Order: sequence, then C-alpha cells, then structure tokens
Amino acid sequence: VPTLQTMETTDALTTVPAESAATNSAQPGARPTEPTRNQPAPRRVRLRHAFAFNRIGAVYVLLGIVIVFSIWVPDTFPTFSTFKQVLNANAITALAALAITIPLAARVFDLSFAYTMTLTGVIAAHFLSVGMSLLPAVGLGLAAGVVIGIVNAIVVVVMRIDSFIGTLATGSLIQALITMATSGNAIVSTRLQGGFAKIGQTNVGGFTLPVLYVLIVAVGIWFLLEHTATGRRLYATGFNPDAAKLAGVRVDRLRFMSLVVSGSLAGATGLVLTATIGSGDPTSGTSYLLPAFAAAFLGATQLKHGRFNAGGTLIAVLLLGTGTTGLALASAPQWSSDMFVGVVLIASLAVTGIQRRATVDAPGRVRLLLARLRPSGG
Amino acid sequence: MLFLTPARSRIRRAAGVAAGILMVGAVAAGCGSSGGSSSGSSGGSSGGSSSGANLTAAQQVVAQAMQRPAAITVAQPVGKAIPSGKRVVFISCGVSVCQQQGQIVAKAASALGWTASTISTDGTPTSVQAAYQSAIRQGADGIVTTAALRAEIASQIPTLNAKKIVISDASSTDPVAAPFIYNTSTATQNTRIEKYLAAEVVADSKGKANTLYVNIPAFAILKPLGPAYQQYQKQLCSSCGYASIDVPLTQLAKAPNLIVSYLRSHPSVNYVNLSVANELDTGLPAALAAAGLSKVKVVGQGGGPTDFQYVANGQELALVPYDYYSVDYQMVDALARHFAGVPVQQTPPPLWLVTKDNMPSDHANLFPDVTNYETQFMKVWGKASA
Repeated sequence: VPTLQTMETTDALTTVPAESAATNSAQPGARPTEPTRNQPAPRRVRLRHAFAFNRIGAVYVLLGIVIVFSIWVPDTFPTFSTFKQVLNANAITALAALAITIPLAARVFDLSFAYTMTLTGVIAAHFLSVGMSLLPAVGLGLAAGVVIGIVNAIVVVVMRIDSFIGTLATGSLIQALITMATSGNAIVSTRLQGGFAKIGQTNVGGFTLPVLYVLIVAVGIWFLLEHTATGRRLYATGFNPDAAKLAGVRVDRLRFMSLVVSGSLAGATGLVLTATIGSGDPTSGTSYLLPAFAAAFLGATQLKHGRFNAGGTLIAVLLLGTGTTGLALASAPQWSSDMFVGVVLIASLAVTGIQRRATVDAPGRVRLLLARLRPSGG
Repeated sequence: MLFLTPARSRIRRAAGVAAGILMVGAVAAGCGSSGGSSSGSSGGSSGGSSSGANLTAAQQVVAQAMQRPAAITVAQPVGKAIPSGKRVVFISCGVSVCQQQGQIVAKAASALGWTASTISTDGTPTSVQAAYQSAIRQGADGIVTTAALRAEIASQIPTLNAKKIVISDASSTDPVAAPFIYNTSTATQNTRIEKYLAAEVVADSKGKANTLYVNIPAFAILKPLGPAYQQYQKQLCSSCGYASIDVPLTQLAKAPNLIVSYLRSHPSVNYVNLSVANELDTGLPAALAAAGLSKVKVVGQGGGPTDFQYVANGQELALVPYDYYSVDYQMVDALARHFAGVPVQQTPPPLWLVTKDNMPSDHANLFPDVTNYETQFMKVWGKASA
C-alpha cells in the first residue's frame, strides 16, 4: 500500500500523520491515500511536531526545573546571573560533547578525546612557557589534536579495531605520553596569563568566550549534519553501515574523517580549557569524559529521534548544568547533583523509548487495523 | 480498542516520566537541605565587624607564619650507625604527585646506602593490597607510603609483622602501631595550618571576614581542619562569620561552579578557604571573575604549581603548601632510626604560609619549605661529612 510505505520511509514533516492516513485508508471502498511526499504539512502539524514532548522533552523538563528552582530559591535562581553562570560553567563540557557528536553520529566512539584535551593544553602551555609566541604554540597544540585524530582513525578504520577499545587504548597512550613529558607536574608560567589566557577568560557582557565558541561549533555541526549530503551519509553510516556501503556511501572514509574532526575539536577544546585554568594541567581533561558522553547521549534523545545532533547536545548540557547549578544555589546536599544527573539520564532515555515504540508500533497498528477491516479473503 | 493507543496517552506517559524527574529531584534535594551536610555549619552569615577582632594577634601569627622555616622538624641526631643495604619500597597512591614522592624517597634512601623502588597503585583497596604483597615478595625491609589504613591491609599485616617489615606513613588517620612505626601530617598536626589561614584571613579583612570553608569529606584526614579553622578564626575575630560546604569526589571538576553558586546565594561571604587547594581551585579564579566575584579572596591548604601561580598573580590570597620534600625525608628518617635501634619520634611537617609577597621564584614546580633540608637530614643521620 503506497500510503504505508510512505509513512514508514518519509519524514513526519512531509507526510500525513499516521492516524489520519489510517483513518482515510480504512474507509470501506476508499482508495488508498496518494503519497503526500511533496506536500508541505500544515503549519499546525509542523508546530505540533516541533514542540512535541517526545521531540524536545528535555526542554520541557528544563522549563520545569527553572520553575521549581525559581520557587525554591527565588532570590538567586531566576536571575540573569544564573543564566550567565550556567553557560559559562558548562561551556567546556558543551565543547567536549560537541567534539564527540560527529563520530557518534557515524557510530564511532572516541574515548580518547578527554586525553587529547589534556595533551593539546599541555603542549601549548609548554611551548608558551619556554618562550614561543602565542600563535605557533596554539598551532602546535591544534596540530597535536589533528595528529591524534589521524592516529585514532588509523587504529579504528585501517586496523579494524573496535572504536570503543581502540580509542580507550590511544587515550591511555596519550596519558602515558603526558605523564612522561610532565612528570605529573602542571606547567605554569606568567606567559600563560597574557594573550593566551584571553582565549578562555575574556568576558563579553558577562559571557566568557568559550560560550561563543560553543555557538560557533554547534552551528557548524548542525549545518554539517542537517544540511549537507555528508551529514546524511554520516547518519546512514551510523544507523546501518552495511546498507550505507551498498548505497554507495564511503563508510570508511566518513568514519576516518569523523575521528579526525573529533580529535581536532577536542584539541581546540583542550586549548580553551588550559587558557581558562591558566596552566597546563596533566589531568585537566579527564574529568570531562563522562559528562560529555552523558550530554551527547542525552542530546541524542532530543530533536532528532535518536540521532546525535548539535542542538540536542546543547539542550542536554543546559538541562544538566541548570539542574546542578540550581541544586548548588539551593544548598542541596552533596549527593543530589549525582542523583539528578542519573535520574535525568534514565528518564530521558525512557521517554525516548516510549517515543520509539510509539513510532515503530504505529505502522504495525495500522496494518492490523486494515487487516481487521478488510473483507475476508480480500 | 485494545490495539490502539491514542497519541495523547503516549504524551501523557512521557510527561509523567518528566514530572517524575522533577519530583524526585525536588524531593531529594528538599529532604537533604533540611538536615544535610552541605547546607553549612554554624556561624553567622553576616559580614562581621572589626569590633570583635584581635588584629594585632592575627598579624603576629601571620608574620611568624610567613617566615620560611629554616630548620627541619627532626632535631635529634640518630646517634648510632644506620645500617646500609636496606631495601625500601614506596607504595604510590597513583596520582602524579605521589610519583614525585617516589623520586624523593629514592634519593633519601640512596643517601643512606639503601635501595628503593616504587610500586604504583590506582588507589583502590585491591591494588593497594596487591602492592603490599609485592613489597613483601620483593623482600622489603621498610615501606614508605601515604594515608595507609590498617583495615585496608589487614590481611597483609600478619605477614608484615612476621617478616619484621615496618611501615613509615604520612597523613594516616590510624594510630601508630606495628607494623606502622611513624605517621606525620596527622590530623592534629595539620590544625596549625588552619591557625595560619585564619590569622591571614582575619588580618587581611581587618576583622570583617565571613569565610566559606570548602571540605572534601572523602579525605578523612581533613575532617578536623574546618572546625579548627572556625575555632581559630573565632579566637581572633569573634564577629567573623563561618560556614562550610562539602564537595564529593565525583563533583571535584565542578567545584568552581559549586563555590560560585554558594557565593551567589550568600553574598556576604568574602573569603573562601579550600581544604585541598589543588583539588578544588582549578579554574576557580576564572569562574569567580566570570561571575563578578573577583573580590572574594581565596586561601587554602596544599596546592601545586597551578595554585602557586594563582597566588603569585594575586588571584588567590594565601596557601599553606604541603612540603613533600621534608615529609618524605622524615618518613625515611623514621626507618633509619628504627633500623639503627633508636626510638622513633613522631614529628610534624614544616608549615609555611605563602602569599604573593613571599612566594618563591621557582614556584613552577613543587618546592621545599626548608631550602637546605637535604643537608640538615644528612647531618642528623651522621652523613654530613660524606
């Protein structure tokens, strides 16, 4: 039945909703509804889709959190200062989460990104401390990120080692390299306090520059994933690499490049982190490993129905950051923050599960309905 | 209609899950905040006034504390020949600074004609137990370590005692008893750190301090420090305020945000005292600046090169660093006395209040409080002429 095929394979924005299509098809003697691929959905349907709970559930949860904390701590939470604090405090986490969004879209893990962050920061701090000028030192740090991305890509794509294990191994090697080079000592110098510090500490209207970097990177990833053929191919690679390969997608090349991009972005994030803390700390990046993955996976439940995407990642970072900041402002006990993150993650994934089951079940239910209404032997 | 679930019903279910998040979060936090450990301790929340402050006493303590220690805390010479050829194992906690301690211990052991090796752990009980078993197999005569707990190595203690392997420790909360022969940087000894910091805060604020103490509960050795600070501050300034928050290990990376949040909700707080500076203040100056809280001054215990740089830049007010060099030599000294048959004295670590004005120029690395500590230890070991 054309209608059912259409429903299963096209985006909800350009098709008749499943239930109305089913109703039309179910009329005795009625012809199946013509495919509506080229007809734009009514504005009301598009708005309903855009603001559907199962699409942006985290935004509603975020709004609920804002309301709860505004009532709970009315003096400090519902202020512009809180908004600035949430953005400033979570900008690095957002950058780290965005760095792994592209490889995750291609179903590739990059567990080494946190160590890459540390390494590039330590490299830039080292060269700055020995007298190198700003641009070459930053350039060397960025180059290290690219090189690590290439190494990761060789390990995962060329050597065919599972990305989870492969990047865990390269991460361990990177940490060993850092410890070997620094003996575990942070690299400090007054030279890190000048122009380099401005990369992370410049304040514009109460917002630090890393917030701006987040916006730039997020827009870039959004454009890549949503508005280019490469983005579509990345998602295809992530969902079903074999099918994508049969469809002519150069899966290996995309995975290779996704890891290079991830290494580069993680490297840049490490430079921003080092500029923010003012020293080449040999362990600075590792604390971002779990928060970044939590944000990326939570973000995948938002906006794009299970696809890793930039907007969802930002929503996730904001949700987690707002909750933890609100709890801190409310002087909540020390365990509340971890509990909040855990509950939010499970609940968000549960919402996604409900949504997915609903999506998957809808065509099946329509078929069942048609079968029941169809004359016997028909 | 058994086979059809209306869309509204699905949305209601999803909304129910979301509501659950909010309720669990709110109830959990609400329950805790009424009687939890992080909502602060006693102490006034007002800024206080100079009327109740003994500024002269505070300034005297600061002046004394800022004098760089000239002598190690081990004054008594060993007085007997220290046997050579001993094997010492340093059991490392796994973090980078412990690796450096291994090098210091090796240098001290070498000066006594001993051999030294380091066994790394990741801090987990199983890895620590494995390290002790390795040390036993290596034929160690003595073990040097930090923050060892008797309960953690209970199964190894009989073997250690049977083989007469002794442990020289630092920052342990357990009393000294075989196989342990020495423990320095004890909780009691460390309270002097808070005396220095309280005096610095009272003197700097001219008796108008309202301090937030930031504790890490996972480090049991730190437990008395917050109350000690509160007590010393009260002695020097009865009108100064005090409160504390706890930061769990899992939240260390978010410590600057937690501190900023507390300061925003308690705007009268003008000083922050960090129980372990190097664990809590990475990125804190930038976070304070971004939140418009640069006037809040930060002091703390411990610290590494990053923290020293913060002090040198004026981004933090003062630190009492941990003198790894003297402490490691003291632990080796205890072994030397034990092997020589001399009673082991429980000596404290040297302490030094460091501010922008007296920060050593070579603060890009850890530095010893006592500049010629090696020479002084060689002298008490009877090796000065070597």
